[in-house]
Amino acid sequence: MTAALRALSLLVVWLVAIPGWAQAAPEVSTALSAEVVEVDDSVTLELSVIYSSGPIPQRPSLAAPDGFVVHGPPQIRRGWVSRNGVTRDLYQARWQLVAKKVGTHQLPAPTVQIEGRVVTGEGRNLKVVPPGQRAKRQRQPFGGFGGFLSGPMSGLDIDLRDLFPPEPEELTPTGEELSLTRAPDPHVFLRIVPSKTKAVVGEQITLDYWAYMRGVALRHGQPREAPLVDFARMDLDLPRQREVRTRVGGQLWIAQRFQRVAVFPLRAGRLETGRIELDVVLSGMGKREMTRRSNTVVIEVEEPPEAGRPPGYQLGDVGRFKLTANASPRETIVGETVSVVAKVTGVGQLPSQLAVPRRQGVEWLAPEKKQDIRDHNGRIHGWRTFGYAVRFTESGTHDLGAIELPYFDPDKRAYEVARVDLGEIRVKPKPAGAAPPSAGPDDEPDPLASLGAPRPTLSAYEPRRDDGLDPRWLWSLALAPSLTVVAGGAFARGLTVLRERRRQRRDDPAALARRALAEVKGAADPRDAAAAAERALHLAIEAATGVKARGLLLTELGPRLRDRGLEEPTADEVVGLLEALGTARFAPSEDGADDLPRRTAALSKKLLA
Amino acid sequence: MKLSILAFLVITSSAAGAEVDHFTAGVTALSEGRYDKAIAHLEAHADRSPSHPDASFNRGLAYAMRAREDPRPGDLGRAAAAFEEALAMRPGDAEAEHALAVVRGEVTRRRSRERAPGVMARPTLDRLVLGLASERTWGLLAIAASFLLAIGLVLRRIREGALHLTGILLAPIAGAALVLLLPLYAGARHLRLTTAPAVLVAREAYLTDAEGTTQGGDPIPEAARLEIGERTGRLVEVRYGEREGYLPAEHVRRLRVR
Repeated sequence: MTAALRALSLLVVWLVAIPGWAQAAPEVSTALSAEVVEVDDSVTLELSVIYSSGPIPQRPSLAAPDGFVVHGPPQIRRGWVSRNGVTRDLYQARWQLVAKKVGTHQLPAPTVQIEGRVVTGEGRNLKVVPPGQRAKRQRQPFGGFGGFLSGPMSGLDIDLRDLFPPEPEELTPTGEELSLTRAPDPHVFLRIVPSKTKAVVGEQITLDYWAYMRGVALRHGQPREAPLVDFARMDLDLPRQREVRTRVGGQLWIAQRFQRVAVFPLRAGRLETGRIELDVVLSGMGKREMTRRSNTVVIEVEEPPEAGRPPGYQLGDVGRFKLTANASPRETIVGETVSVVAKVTGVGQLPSQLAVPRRQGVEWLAPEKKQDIRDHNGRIHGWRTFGYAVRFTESGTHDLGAIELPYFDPDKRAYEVARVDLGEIRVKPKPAGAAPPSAGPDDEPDPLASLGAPRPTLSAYEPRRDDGLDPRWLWSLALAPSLTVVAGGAFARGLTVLRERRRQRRDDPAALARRALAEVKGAADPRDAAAAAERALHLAIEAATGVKARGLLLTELGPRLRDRGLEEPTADEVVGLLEALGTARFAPSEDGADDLPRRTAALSKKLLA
Repeated sequence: MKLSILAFLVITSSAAGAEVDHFTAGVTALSEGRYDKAIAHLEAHADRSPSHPDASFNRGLAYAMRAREDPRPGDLGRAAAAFEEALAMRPGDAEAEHALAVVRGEVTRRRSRERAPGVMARPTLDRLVLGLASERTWGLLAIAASFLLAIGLVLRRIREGALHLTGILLAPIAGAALVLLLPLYAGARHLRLTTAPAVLVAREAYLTDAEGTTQGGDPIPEAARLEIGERTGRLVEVRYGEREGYLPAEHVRRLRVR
């Protein structure tokens, strides 16, 4: 029972403590992307709010600081974070500031409103120096993290420790194509570099993701991918050369490639890749964690030229392809199927479907696809097979015709057609009595057309707040009633036991005998003294042997006492003293009557010992 | 401590200091058939404003319409996620319920056309039991059981009679109920704090282990409802029926109902 209570207590503590973080007040923090910038450099001020219940924060606000220009309204994003297994919502607002005035500035604290209550972040100090005067920091080996595996980012996906280079020398710069006239950040920024900015729909464009850094060493995890909503995407292997020294704004930087992807535009137009994000930890200026976003790349995409476009060309089929096919068996009966496997091999985005030849009495069922797609030196290539079941509804010799794949070759800037002949299939009539072949598929309905119209306004809506039950109340109310009853019962039982013990002590013959002996001393009248002494002796006999001597004749008392273990001389003394006390009660003047109280006290003490 | 963050599309106003009514702009674009614009505005509205079932419904409609006319990978999944949000905020919204069923049906139809394997996800017994009632309901039942247990213990003290008999029966039954209900409350609370509903917004996905190695088995289809847990790095813990594993966070859209 004790162990069970102990276990229950621990469980209660755990269940109350763990959700304590989840029920906590919103956590507000402010971060600045740099501590020192030059005039005309930009810096990002970020306000983060982590909250677990209630309405979302709104109305982010930043008073424009003196000596700075705030670019546009803040960028807002919502997300979620996990800590110790508990999920909470995240709200972030970011302002882009450009420094215009030299000096050390106290940036005001940004604010946000939560349920009408203004929540304030922290102010931050920023030092602005004239152009070219930001000091180079002495870089420590391994970035000062104290070891290879230490650092705040556990689960590091890419280890860049061996890429902590020494301060770059003033070498002849390489990577001209990576140079820039201006750095968006004084220490680190991301950049997406496309292989081309003009393409046709379906043509492969290779995007290289670069991290530029200066004066710091960098560690990071996996990037958060750009939306690429108008592109299909495939990861590519990173080339061996990952690091390039280049110039940005006339200064020497290190550019490090951390990802390469192939993207294929899905439509014509002016398409944007969107930005990638990367959580980075910088060393060389203390351990600073921050998030960096890249530029977005605009790709001008047009459709391949209409002139010379072969019939059946599917927009997006761009590359160089070969087509092969195999049909078996070459003989079947009406209603049965043969297998036709067509294989497309080539470079570029392999087509997702093929146009099969339509013939009277021939049904082509939906294909099963398999593929093996790889990347070689940044070019996507491989093969894809389309396995068709072809059913025949008429007997005879059927020429399946040819499968053609028109495509656009981006290198030649011309259309080509890959073609494969499928040959003939001999179809015998169905034997008599066989079931007729099943009907072909009907025209497929368009259920998405039934989704209805958009809702023009936001109707009345009261959000439900389900924060559950406060565990402190729950555990109190769940355990208190029964524990109270049990505790009350135990308390009542304890009181009863105490009363019983007190009564027993009060009624104890030995105690009564001692009280009677005290009365003997206090009795003035010899008869009263004799009576008290007789009473005390009877109680002492009862306390020592359990024998109630008052109910026995003196002639019976002696043997009874001996039976109860009293020694014969003592028993005889008891009987003799009782006889003398009986006489003294009525004739106190007899010889020896004065000594009776003393003799009684001595014998009583002997019996009670 | 490192914070793990999901990135969403962000729209910034071109007019300095002017706030764009993204909801109205999104509805207008949706009505005009400009689904890309509609999606961008409605996503920005979702980032900046409290969640609302009508806004979620319209966002789902925009993704579904784009999936119908100019499909992008994950459109149907995002449409399903938006309709799920609308239903979570306003249960019994028949239009959202119908739309969700249509979208999931369309996903199934497209997968069957591609001969993709059909996947069935069965909830586990613990989720079934915990899902019978909310955390608040389990807690209130536990409190009621506790009071009944106390009453039973008091009635047992009466020496004899009907009340004594009642106490003899009531105390153990209420005690057993309390022992059952407290863990159910604790389990429901743990689930509420550590997991969240989400929808798969990739065409299909294979569960991986914590290092990103594919576990094998059938893929999870687009628009499938998931339960997500902790995020570590690029991967997020996922539970789909009785299967558990990890998926890239960008393949999963957490439902926002606040």
